[in-house]
Amino acid sequence: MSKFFAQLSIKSKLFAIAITSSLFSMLLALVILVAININEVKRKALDDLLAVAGLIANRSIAAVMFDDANLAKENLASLANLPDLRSACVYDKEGGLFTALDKPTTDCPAGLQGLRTHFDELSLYVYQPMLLDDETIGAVYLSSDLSTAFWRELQFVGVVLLVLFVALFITFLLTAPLLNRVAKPIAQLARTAQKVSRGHDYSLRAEKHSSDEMGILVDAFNDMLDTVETQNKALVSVKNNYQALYDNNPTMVFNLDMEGQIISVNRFGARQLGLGVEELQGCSIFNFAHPEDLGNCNQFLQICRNHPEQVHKLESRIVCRNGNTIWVRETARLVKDENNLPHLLLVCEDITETRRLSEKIAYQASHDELTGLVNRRQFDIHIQNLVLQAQADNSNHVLCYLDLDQFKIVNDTCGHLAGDELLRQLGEVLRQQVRKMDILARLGGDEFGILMSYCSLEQAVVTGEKLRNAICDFQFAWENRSFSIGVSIGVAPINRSSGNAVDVLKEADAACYAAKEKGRNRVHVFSPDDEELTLRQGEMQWVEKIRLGIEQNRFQLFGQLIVPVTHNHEALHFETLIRYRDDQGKIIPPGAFLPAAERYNMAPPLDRWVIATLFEYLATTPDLLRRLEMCSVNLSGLSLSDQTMLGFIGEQFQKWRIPTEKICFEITETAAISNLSYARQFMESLRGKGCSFSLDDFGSGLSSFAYLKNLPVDYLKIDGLFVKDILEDRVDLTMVKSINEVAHVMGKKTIAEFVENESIFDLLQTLGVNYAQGYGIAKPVPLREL
Amino acid sequence: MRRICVAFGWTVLCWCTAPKAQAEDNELEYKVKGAYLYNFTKFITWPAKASPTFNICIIGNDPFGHLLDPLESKTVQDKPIKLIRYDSAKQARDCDIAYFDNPDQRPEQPLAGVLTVGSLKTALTVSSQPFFAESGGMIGFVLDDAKVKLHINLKALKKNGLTVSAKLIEVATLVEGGEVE
Repeated sequence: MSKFFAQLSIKSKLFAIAITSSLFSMLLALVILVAININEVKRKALDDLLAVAGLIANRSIAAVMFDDANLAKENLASLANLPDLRSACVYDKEGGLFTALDKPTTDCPAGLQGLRTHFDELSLYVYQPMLLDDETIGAVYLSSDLSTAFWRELQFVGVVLLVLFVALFITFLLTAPLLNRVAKPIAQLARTAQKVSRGHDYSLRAEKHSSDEMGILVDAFNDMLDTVETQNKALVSVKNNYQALYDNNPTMVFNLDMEGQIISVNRFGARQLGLGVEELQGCSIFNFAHPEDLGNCNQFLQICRNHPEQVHKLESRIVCRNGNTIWVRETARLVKDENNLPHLLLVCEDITETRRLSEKIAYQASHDELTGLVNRRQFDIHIQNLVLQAQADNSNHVLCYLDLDQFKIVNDTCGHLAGDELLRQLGEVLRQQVRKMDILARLGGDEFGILMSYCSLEQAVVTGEKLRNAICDFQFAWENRSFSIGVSIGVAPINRSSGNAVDVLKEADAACYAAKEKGRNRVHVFSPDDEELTLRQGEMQWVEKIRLGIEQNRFQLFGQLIVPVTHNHEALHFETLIRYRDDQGKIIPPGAFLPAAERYNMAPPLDRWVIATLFEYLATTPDLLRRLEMCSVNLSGLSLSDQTMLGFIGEQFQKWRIPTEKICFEITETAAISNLSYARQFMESLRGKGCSFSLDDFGSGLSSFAYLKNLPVDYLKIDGLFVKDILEDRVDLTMVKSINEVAHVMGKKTIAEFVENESIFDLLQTLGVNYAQGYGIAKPVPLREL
Repeated sequence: MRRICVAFGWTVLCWCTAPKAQAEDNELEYKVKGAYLYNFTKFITWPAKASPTFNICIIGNDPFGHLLDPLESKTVQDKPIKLIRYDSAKQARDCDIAYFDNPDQRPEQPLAGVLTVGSLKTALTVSSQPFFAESGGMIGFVLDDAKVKLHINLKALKKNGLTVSAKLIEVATLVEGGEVE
């Protein structure tokens, strides 16, 4: 019953309660009414009957006393009309039946004994004694049938109940809308709740109809929905964020089962593979593995399975659907899902680019970027391999060391681009001349190396000559100009007795050096003497010597006189030169260490030392300074582009109070034009202070009059190479003459170098050259001897 | 049961006294009449009187014997009943009820009309004489079908200052006559 009640809707329950309570109250009313009415009927009947009995008794006293039965009967006859009366009896004093109502239902007891007033079911019995002065003289006994009265009352009750029922029904009809007003909001709330829970649509809201408990419930429900909606939105947003993070993560994220089947994959991964996410589900990851990596991948999966706690990494290739192969770094770890089932989380990062880069780096590490040839590092390895090979099988191999002769001119005059292009083209020229098995390398700057395996020295020399010729024949064209290049080639054998790779390279280097010493553009096979030469004069050793030399004052200043050609010399004019005094006190000329200084950036410190030492000497030797008309100091190209040099020179002038007009700086043309604008600024600055400038070695380098025009120099030093042969060579004479003339037109004074005898001096005088310098006039001497 | 016993009692009595059946009929009749005499006191009101007792006078022949004796233990209007027997009406004094027996047995007795005057002025006169009430008496016992019936002369009662209850009138037959002008 309660189960059935629980299943009813609230509306039905309300109706059921209303109906039940109505029915119950009706029933209660029925029972009470019936009880009251029955009681009332009984009471009334009793009262009536008692009254009647009393009356009859009173009226019949005389009849009984005087034994007048007829009279008594007459008295009783008046009762005949009472509808409910069943019987009426009168008894005499002795208790005998005196008389009875003449009625068919009359049934009087024979005696008075046991008679009393009482109800018996639907009958009422009344016993009324006849009393006269406290004396009982008889009795009246009446019995009445109450069924009719009861029935009437029941009918009345029925009518009342009917009326009550009708009233209740009308009331019910009237209250039904009210019940509805209670039940309807609940039903609506329930419907809304159901809709929300079915559709997960948290934007729905229940409608509020009242501000009673139902209204509070609706408010609370809506508040709850607000909260749920907010939280749901937040959750969805978070989920979307994570989904986006997962899908757009620039790595391929796979979830695999233990056999390598794809359970899920992120969008990026699917896009990378060229398939849809759904298409990939159920595929095996091995379908995309590169055939060569298949074994590795299988092994990898096995390892992951065997070591679930660790993170495993593997680099392998994946073949995409379009056939592209990409390199990926696979990072995998065994994880357990919510059901505690193990599966594999695999993250593949595309490292194709990295891979390509590292390959490129590896290539670049072993190759020269400019020429594409093997570089020094890789070449060393090859040498080492060949050395080992030679030691192993007593085979003979050859290492050639090539050094270009005029490369620096191209580089200095046409710029690095031209130099680079020349190297590239030469690399190609050389490549064409060597065997396929030979290894051609660029060892740095303008140096090349060739490793000829299984090759005799004779063959190597022949090949070397071939290379030299090829380079000699090669004409390098750059901006409408053409250059010829020479090459010095050192050849060193690699055989059983060879030392390590460094030794072999040193030998080849020494041979190359010897080739240069012998006059360049030739092939020289290594001999142990070469090594000594190199050791003594090699550039590398000079780097440390220059550094120490500056510290230990091993350098010494010399001066070579410069004299006017046209008139007698009174004032002192010289060029400051530098010499190195070795451990044995032997003076080493600058040709030995200046190239090294230039090459290894030691020239600027050396220049500073010269300036500082010269200025100090001049300042501390006032006699010399007084006699001095002009003193020239060489500035290297590097010093010219040194930003701090200008400041240094200014400081030195101030420190030693040297008259600036007595100092002339000598620069080379190539040094000046390699950074023309700064060189001009540099020169203008010092000229502004009163210093002079002279352009050294004019004629041997680029010797462009156009540049001359742009360089604010005061003196032009004609290259000694032209001067020394001026007497024999008409070309040289013409060149010196024309240079001199052009210089004069430009307002510059000329100085001829290498003036070795009087005849030259005389000729120069004829030509109108302003100054002369050379062994024929004065050899370089220490400053104090000037 | 009681009735059976009474009936049985009566049957035994009758059987034992069969030769005296006539006498017993008379006794029952007088028993009823005696009871009636007492019953009258319930329905009739006498004028106030200083007498300490309620006097029932049997005048002349006494047919009751000892049947009336129990009455003396009763009271009327808080006065004890006293039975007084007089031989003649002239002797009678202070009677509240005066009973005259059947004149057939005592022919020398004066007429009722005579009795109503004189010394029996406030007494209720009762008699078994035929036509007693019709001849000026107040209540006469008349035998009708072996039952004692009452004849009441209301005028006689009123004349003597007695009032009678309607209930008594209902059981009696009203008669007139015997008025003394």
